[in-house]
Amino acid sequence: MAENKKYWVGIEDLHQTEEFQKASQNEFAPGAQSVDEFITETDLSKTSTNRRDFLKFLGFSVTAATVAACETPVIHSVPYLNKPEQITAGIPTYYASTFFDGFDFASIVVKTREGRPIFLKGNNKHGINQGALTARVNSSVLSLYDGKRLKGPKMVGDDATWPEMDSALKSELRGVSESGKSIVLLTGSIISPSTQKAIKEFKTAFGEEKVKVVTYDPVSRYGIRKANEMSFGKSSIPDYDFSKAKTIVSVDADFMDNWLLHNQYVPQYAKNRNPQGEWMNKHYQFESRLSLTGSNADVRVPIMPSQEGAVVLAIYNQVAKLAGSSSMSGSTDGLPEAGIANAAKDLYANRGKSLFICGSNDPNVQVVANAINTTLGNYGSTISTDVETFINQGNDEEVMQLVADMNSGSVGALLIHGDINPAYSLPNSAAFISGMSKVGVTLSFARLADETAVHCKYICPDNHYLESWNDFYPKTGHSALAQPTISRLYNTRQFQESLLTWAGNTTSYHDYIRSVWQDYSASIGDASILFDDFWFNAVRNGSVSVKVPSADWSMQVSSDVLSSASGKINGVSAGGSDTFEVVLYTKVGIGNGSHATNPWLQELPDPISKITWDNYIAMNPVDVEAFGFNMHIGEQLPASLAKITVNGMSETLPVVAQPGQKKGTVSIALGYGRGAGQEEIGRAAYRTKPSGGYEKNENDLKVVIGKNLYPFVAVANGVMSYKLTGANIEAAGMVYPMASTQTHHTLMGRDSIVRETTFSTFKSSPKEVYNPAHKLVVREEGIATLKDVDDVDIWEAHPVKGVGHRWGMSIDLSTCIGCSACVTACHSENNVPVVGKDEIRRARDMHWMRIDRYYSSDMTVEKGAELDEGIIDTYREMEVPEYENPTTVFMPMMCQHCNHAPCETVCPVAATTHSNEGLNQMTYNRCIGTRYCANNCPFKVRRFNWFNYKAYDKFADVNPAQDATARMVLNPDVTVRSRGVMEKCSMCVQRIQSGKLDAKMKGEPVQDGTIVTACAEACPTNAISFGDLNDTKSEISGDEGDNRTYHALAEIGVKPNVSYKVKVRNT
Amino acid sequence: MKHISKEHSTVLKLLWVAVLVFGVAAFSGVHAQDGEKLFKQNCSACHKVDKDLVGPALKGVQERWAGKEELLYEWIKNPAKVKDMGDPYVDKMLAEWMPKGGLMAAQLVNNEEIDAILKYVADWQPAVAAVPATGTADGAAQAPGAAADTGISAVWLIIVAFILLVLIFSLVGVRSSLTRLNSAILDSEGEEVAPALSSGERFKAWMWKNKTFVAIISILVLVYFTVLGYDALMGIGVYQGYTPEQPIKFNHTLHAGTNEIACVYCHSSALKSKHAGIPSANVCMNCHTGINEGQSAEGTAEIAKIYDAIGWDLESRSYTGEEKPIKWVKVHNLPDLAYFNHAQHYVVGEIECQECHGQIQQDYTVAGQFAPLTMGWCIDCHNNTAVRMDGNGYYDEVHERLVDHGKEELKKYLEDGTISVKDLGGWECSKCHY
Repeated sequence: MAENKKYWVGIEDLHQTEEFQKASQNEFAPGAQSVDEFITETDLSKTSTNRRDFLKFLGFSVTAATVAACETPVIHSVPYLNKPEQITAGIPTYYASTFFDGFDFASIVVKTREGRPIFLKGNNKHGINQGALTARVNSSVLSLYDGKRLKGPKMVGDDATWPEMDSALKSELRGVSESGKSIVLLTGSIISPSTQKAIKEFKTAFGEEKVKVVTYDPVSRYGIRKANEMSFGKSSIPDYDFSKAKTIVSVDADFMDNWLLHNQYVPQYAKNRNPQGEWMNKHYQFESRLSLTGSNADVRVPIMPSQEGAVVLAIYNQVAKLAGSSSMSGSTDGLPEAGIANAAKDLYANRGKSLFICGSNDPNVQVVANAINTTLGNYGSTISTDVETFINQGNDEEVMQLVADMNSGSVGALLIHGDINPAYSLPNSAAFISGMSKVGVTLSFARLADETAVHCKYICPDNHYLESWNDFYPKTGHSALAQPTISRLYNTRQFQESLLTWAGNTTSYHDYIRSVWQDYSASIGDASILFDDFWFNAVRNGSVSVKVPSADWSMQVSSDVLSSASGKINGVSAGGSDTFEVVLYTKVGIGNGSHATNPWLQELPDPISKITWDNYIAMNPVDVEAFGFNMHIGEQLPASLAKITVNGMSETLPVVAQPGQKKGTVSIALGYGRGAGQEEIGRAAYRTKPSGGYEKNENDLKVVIGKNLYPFVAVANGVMSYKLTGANIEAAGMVYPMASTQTHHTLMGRDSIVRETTFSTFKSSPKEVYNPAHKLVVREEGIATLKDVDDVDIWEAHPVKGVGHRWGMSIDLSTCIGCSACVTACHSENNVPVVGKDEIRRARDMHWMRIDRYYSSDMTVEKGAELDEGIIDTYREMEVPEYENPTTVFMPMMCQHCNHAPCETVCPVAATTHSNEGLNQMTYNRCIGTRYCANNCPFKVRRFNWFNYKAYDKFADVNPAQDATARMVLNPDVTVRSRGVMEKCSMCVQRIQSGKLDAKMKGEPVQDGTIVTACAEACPTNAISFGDLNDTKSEISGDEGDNRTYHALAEIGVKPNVSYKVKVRNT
Repeated sequence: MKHISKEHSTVLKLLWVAVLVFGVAAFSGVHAQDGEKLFKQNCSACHKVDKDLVGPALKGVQERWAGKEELLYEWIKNPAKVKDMGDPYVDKMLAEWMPKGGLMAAQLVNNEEIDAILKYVADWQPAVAAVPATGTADGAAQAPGAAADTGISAVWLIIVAFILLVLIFSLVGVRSSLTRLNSAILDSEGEEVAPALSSGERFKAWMWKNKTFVAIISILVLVYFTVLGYDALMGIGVYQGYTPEQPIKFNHTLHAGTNEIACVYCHSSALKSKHAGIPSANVCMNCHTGINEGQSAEGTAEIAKIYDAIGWDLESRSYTGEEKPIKWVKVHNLPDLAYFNHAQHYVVGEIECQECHGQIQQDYTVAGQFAPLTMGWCIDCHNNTAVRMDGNGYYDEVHERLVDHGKEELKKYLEDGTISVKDLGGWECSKCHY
């Protein structure tokens, strides 16, 4: 029974610390210094500004303002001389394109206004991701306008022209080719057929055996390819189909955020999370840290990183036992036996319709994982034997060999693709950098002078992907295209064009791709289709899928391979008892670090820890307590710093108590600490001072954000390992302020805001059990009766029901995975300012939309009964949440657009009012900043502009609106708010207005689905739906009467237009 | 007396111009006027009288077709037919002109009209002599007259002022003489002379005596200045009448008025977008590829500015590729906090451009801001304008819902029975501010 659970947003909430209580009472803390403190400050009298001066300044500024106000501003307007037919000023144009940076693959749609890309969304009509994307993808539009991008090619640090570069490089490369040394092209995973062809031409031009291509993934999945080679004799990754899987068991595979083609898996997974369907998938997750995927699992089992192989082996043994095949020897000491047994039982029960995946980069563990899937007969159903996935081609062994070769001097030229940054992300980056000095010709295609590029003799900056033509072949039978959506901003040239130029081919890359596709269209052979039609169709849709012929792939793991693998797994030992095990992972926002200079992503709270602008040591609260580190983080409560030492390397980082982290383990995010060598990698790359400007260390160097943990990555048996053992942690004796949004805007113990139930309860019980209506005791003529909360009202109803439009939103808590793509989409659509770490720390974050993450005990009444515990004990266990394994609920929270909005009644100037379409309107130009509305908002969704973020010095380095180039990303349909006004979710009123106008111009009613808010558009699982509640044909009007639908805090009777659907777990 | 001689010369000039106007008009006759109109309607897109354009110059056309008048009629009415007749002159002409402009289009004119055009061409005189024959003549004739008018009135004003000044001085002199005389008389009669009061004291005394009058005047003055001050304050940020100088002196009166070109022909964005848009130069070139001369030398110079911007070489009739974007000055500067959509008003609301922009086809040569663009002005219109729902499926749906469900609830909005923009939410903040 959901009602009996205790929910808590963080340890501060659970412990009800003093600061937490204070913060929850005082949403708008005035900051470090109060007005009283300021005026009584003794130093004030010493300042040079006295009262007379003040009056002079005042008089002058009033006069100046008056004079300025009277002057007619002369604004120039420069129209096109030759207007392209498809561009109309004020009307957005959309282009299908594709995002791929080696980490994320997504078919996208680019919205451009007046020729500028301003918003990215998933392409929900075409492409393998069905419209899903991550926050990293939709934020990447900002990187286009990065003012620090290289403006042109550079030769030995000086600006050069392209002809100069070309002639120099042609002769240099020719020289290397004629010498005994090799030319190495170090790239990320290349899945582009045209690029591959261009590389081939380059190879032909400079000697087939001289030119070597080495593929490197900063976060390696080489173990899977290697395991498949060992198991099936083919170094490939098959295609997984989560939509067919009834049972999904994942051992540390974060398939919702970063594992292989995650953007394809998420919608597939979410499809079967709808409890209205006949069945719901059941998801087990075994992991050491609380990952995004783990937080969504039905059953989450915490394990030690060193147990990973043993757990996989134990699951194999159980499955094999059920299937009657031979099992391998393996110790099960200390393993979570119940969890393993349940997972194996479910996997076997749904054999052929289940999926076992593993995030380990150890090929031996992956071999056993393959054996589990072959035993279950999943190949051919949930795992495709015909379709191969081509991403993650990185070969760790070749990369390590390259570093050795560079240092031995056998490499004559090193050409580094712009998507990778090995001098930053290689574990042995120091050896790589020293190796670079021994290579005669070093060249980078990076767009920024990053850690790698600054060590290169030549930099040939690549175009941004939104300025480029490109093609991709992510998996068998599916091709995707990227097209330029803006002309090149700087004097850059596409990587492929550079290669082709040096190879002597001067075709434009567009023509080149076209010719490759012409051959392709001929090869897939429908002669009746004209190529032009095929091509333009592909460009318009962004991708082409063709039927795949079935491949003959033998799917048996031989017992020799299996026993050798299991033997190696058994050899893995944990570290000493007083040491910690470490998990290195990538965060939802920053990923592998290539987006580290994107302020939208830095400011995006981590879905789990809610921390912004930093990486940290996540540690179980029990361990935190044992160390005596600060348990609670808040504005005035800094985190303790600790020194972590592992394999002879050490780093000092703040410690964050993270429920769900396995005791005895810590996890630290990769991708931080960019720009340690003061490289120009972006304005938001360095820590800023609370007063603005960059923070400098004792050597007068800019301080990086977070710490780079890539050097910690272990290289064992030729593969990179992100799990470390034997770490020593000691207190560094210092504290460090952290910006966490965990305790901001709390709901003050109103647990009723979250509702959840189990699949069996949902299927077997009436609505009253899992989603009871709120009843109020009403005393009428002395008789107390229970009345439905909807029937009790002191206000006159707004005339919106059934009349005209009534915009509403429905959010399904069952399918919301907390990925936060909606948060960045909202950021981008609504010109939300970036405020930087210091302001976030003061609870002045400006996100219109936040994802509330609630923890609760995983103890339930059913589970108590199952464990045969008394009811009293069960409830006690619910009250004492288990730190190691809390259950998690994500709840997107934004303005609820209450029909009886408490904010509207308290505004003294009627700046926030209700529209007859059900919207709670916020009028910036009327607002005088009393903040009464925010104080009266039960959902705490109103944000106040404490500063003029678009002009004030403090935000110069964090807020893109202050960068002349980055400003181009602003949505011209939305006002950029100024200081002193309140703002909040407007339900994308600009989209509603333009959608209505479109309908009026067409002379037809608004079609359901034509008006979509930015968050709903970004949601990879379609958890957010938006529409007209008064339109009886709309999807959302159906949701209104759904059994699972409830209003947040229904008991206070504010009658919101946003509703939620009860979360259903398949436990 | 210099004045008068100057005046004489102006009047003489005026008379001379008038004579010229009448003379030329009488000489030209009615046919030439018709011919001019017909020429402009049918021929001027491709032909000029004295210069080659898309087609050859028409001057001397009768001489060139001498003896083949019937063929000329036929050619003008149906060139495609004549093309294949094998006439040597036609063949020669086609060989020269077909590559440049293609075959001439058939013209819907009869033989009498062709005669009129030919007569107009034959009688045509270069611009200097032709000025009086066109509409500009009236303007030219008026201008000196107007100058003369102001000259005369100024002189008269000075004379009147002078006379008044003389009057005032003499009256003051008379008054002081009288006062002195009076005191002298009193003095001589041995009576006590009232002590001389200072002017301030006298004014005070006067005010005290006329309390009511002073009070009323003071109140009026106060009210006047309050209103003046209030208006001045309310006018801050209101740029009604703002008519900045533009890089090209585009003549709306000529284009939208005389030539009756629809506003949205050039401002086509208004059909789709929130911006009406400043037309791109390629839109100008739709017509100005052919029309490269204005009605005056100034007009021609302005047209040349378009060519300069878009890189059109008049001699070779081709684009040079040298483009210089035109930096127009934005006239209507709505603050960023307000959203306005042209398509919403022009397409959906069917509001005429003139309602907000004034009779631009008559009154403005260069565009200026006609409306105050204040919020009061906006919501006034939203209050008074009924939504045009007929024939728009969008409103059918909304309307149906009003009828079906909530008429009672909506009654308070619909007191007058019509649905104004305000009734549908046109006064709500988020309709324009977001």
